[in-house]
Amino acid sequence: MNRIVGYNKSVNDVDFTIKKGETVGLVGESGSGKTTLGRCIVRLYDSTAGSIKFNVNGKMTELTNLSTKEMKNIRKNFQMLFQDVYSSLDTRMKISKIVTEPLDIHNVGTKKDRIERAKELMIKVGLSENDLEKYPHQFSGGQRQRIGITRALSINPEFIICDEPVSALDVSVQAQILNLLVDLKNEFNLSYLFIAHDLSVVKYISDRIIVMYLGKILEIASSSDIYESPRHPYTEALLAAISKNKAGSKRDILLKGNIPDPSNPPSGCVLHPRCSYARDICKNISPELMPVKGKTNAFAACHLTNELNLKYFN
Amino acid sequence: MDKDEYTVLSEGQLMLRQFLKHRVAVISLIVLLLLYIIVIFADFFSPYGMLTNHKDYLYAPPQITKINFFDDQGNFHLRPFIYRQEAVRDPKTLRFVYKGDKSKKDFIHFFIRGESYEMLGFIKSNLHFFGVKEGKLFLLGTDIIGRDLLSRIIFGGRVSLSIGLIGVIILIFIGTIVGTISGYYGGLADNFIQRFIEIIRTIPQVALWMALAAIIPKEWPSTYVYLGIVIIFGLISWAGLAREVRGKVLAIRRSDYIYAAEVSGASSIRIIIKHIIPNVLSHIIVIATLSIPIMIIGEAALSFLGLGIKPPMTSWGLLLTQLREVQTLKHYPWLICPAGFIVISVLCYNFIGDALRDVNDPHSR
Amino acid sequence: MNTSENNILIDVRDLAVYFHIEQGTVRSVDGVSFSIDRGKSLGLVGESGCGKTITALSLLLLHPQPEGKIERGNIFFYPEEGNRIDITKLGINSKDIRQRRGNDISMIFQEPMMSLNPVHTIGQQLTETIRLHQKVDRNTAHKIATDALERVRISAPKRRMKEYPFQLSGGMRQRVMIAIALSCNPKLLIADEPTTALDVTIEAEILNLIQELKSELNMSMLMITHDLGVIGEVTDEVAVMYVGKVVERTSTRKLFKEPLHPYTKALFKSRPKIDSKERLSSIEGTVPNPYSQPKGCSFEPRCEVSMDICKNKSPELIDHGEHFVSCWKYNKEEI
Repeated sequence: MNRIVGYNKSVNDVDFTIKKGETVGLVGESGSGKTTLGRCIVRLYDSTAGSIKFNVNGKMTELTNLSTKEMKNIRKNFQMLFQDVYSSLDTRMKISKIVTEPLDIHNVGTKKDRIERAKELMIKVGLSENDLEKYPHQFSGGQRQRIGITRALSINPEFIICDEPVSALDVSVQAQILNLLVDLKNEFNLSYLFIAHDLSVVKYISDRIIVMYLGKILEIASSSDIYESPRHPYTEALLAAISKNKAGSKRDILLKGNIPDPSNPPSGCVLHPRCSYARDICKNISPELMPVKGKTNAFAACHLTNELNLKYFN
Repeated sequence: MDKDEYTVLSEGQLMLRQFLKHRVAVISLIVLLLLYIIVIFADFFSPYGMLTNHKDYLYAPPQITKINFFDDQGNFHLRPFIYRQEAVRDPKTLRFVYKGDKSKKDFIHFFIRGESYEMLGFIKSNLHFFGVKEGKLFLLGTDIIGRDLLSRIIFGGRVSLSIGLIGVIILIFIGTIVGTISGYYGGLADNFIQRFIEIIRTIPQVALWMALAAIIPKEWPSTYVYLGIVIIFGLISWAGLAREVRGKVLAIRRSDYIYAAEVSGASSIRIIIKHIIPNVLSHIIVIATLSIPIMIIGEAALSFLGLGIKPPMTSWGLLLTQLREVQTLKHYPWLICPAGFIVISVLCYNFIGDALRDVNDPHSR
Repeated sequence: MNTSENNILIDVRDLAVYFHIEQGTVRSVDGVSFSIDRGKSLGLVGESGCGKTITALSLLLLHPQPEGKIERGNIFFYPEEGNRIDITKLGINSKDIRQRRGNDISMIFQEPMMSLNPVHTIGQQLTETIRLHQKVDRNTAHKIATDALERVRISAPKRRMKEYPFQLSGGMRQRVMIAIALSCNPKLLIADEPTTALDVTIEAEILNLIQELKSELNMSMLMITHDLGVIGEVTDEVAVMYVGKVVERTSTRKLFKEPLHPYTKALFKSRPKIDSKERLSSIEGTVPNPYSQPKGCSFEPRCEVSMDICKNKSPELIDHGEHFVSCWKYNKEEI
């Protein structure tokens, strides 16, 4: 069964699908529109144009023109994790209230059922039953994200948007949460849209990766392809910017200058002012996201993608 | 530290701790609580009835300074007493002058039987907190027709102290609803509400009070007038609260926990009730606390100008109307006492409000 | 640390900074020792709350006051060879320490926008700092400021001087902060997570810039970060901190070749690597509560190789061939 989330125009001609049980990574720097895109998909923000389709019991449903009531029903199927673990839990609420909130909203089961479900999930995410009686300020960042995960799972969703769920956490805690997300995905056959700015984190968890820059998708490819044979100069630069984890190493700087103002992006290819390969065509004509020759399910938006020999510098 | 146990305090407990550190506010709170208890059980705490006039004691001076423990022979009495005072007409000025009669000692008793009353409409009794068995006791003196000022202040406090409280409930109700709608839904509603608030706030408050109070029909019974004034206060002063609530709601609206609830399909009403109101509640309480003293002063001002409470009801403001002529203050200075009660209660509310604001302010923590 | 004694610039010995707050005493920094030679750089790496920032702030007596207090230890600073100052003995707001700040030791922070005043131009803020520390007239200060911007590779420095902080991008602002920090040629630069708030493609540029300027000006650097990758790129030596203590200290090369402390090892293993999809090995549990730290080794509750002694006795920092580590595993004689 294919779950397709089609998407168009709102950020800027963005088009991709997510299959059931698949994790799609969305990587980009500040101003790339990755968070906006994630929030548009669950209709926290309204998109100006385009379509978002969601598979509800085998029927593809268009989300953008649903009424609030119809939308509420579909909302059972998706959930969201947030970056700021301090602002994503209501400090005035008990944990038991927080994690059963989605069940409460959709009136699922009795109060006792809900608490039972919460207890079960709390243990699954590595917390204890007693924690249900506490308040958010009694937990560390990593524990708060676990509570966020418990809340997200309580309603048994099929699709979770993870908006930088580990980037605010300490290194040693990041690994815990990433591993937990992988385990839960396998156990519940979840689909993730995993948003992050760190390519190595995204690559670790994702099956496919979408690379965004200034509101545009520049490349979509499987996570091994992204790393072994990047097809866009921006992806190459992101790979080069990953630290080598060696003493005395230096990173290659492939992009010049700063990220332009996202509200006033450059003409032509959005990357051209910073791209070292840029030619005249790049300044004037915005490249379309095209299938990469000789690859299935790989797309790149670069005029020169077939000419350049890009690689991961190591 | 190794063996130290520690407990995690809830947010409420932390706030309480923080509040208890403000000594002045704690004292203010105690003073206010006492005042409210006295005022609620006014019939019991006041030595005489509100309207009881003592014909032989017109403009009797306060006896609070004349309480004795030693008689003129130097004998000590455990029970305090006053010398009975008697009015003598000054032959020159024709005004009454009160002289203590050293031969008659009136001892002050607690829990004494006196005038019978029906408190709050259902407690029938004649027990008073204090008083004298024979003679009269006017701790703060009497007025032009010989009514005990202390008793009148206690009964008047019912009006003065309750107007603020009831007014604030109306204020919270309107201010919170309007502010939340304005902040949460935004757009046209927000724009309209904000402009409306600006218009209200440009009109000087006292003038607005007076204008509205003047609408209240003169022939209304005093309880209606009282209600009318409460409603006026509530209707006028919500604007400030609405504006603050709006700002707070705007900030909370962008919190991830609101988004989380929205993603789960929560309705706007649910989000407002479960998330937004509980999070702005502490702010509302601060602003409400600081609004009460404004209403107390407002009532006093209106009543002083004759636009407020009408007899036979009384309030601290109304009691002060006797002082409209400076001559009266010169001859009978004790009539200023109600002003002292206004000052004390207003100060107490302000101290508490400021302390609550400190406790609430995350930057001070 | 095989250089001669008189090459040392700053020598921190057994530094302890405690916070006395309502809930109890927090030992933010609890017996930290390290030294930095002239022209060398030391990395202070650890997770949030490990005390690395407090350590750095206390070198300038800028630790939060009055709740934070230097309980013991010395910070010996050698502005010139043979001239030794103990910073802990200076008054919190004395002229002596204010002279050192900015002049001898300066600092850059994670969030450059917070450190720049939004209502003044870049030029005003730069010249103000320069004139605060050097007795020069306005024109000379302006000239020095323009040069400083040029030094941090800001294009069109004359135009930038007239711009306000909000007109600059995050990377640019951090460059301006570096320019301000370096305008008085400090001997020591403290960099507190200077690239954490920046985008990945900008981060490398800023790190390279800091590196280049460090050798250009022959200054020493204390780099504070949670990112081992950054440590590998810019530091000569490294001290790993965990709950207020240094648990491992050695040359960067040695640490990356063979980390000894179980915590450091775990830190290395818990980062996702771009070239492998192997399951991450995470450090279980969380950092202990600051108000009730374990009696023995503070890492013991999360350690995979903990022994009985670890529960009861806190290990000392012991030398293993210029590789200091505080772990009972490497301290066989004592057991």
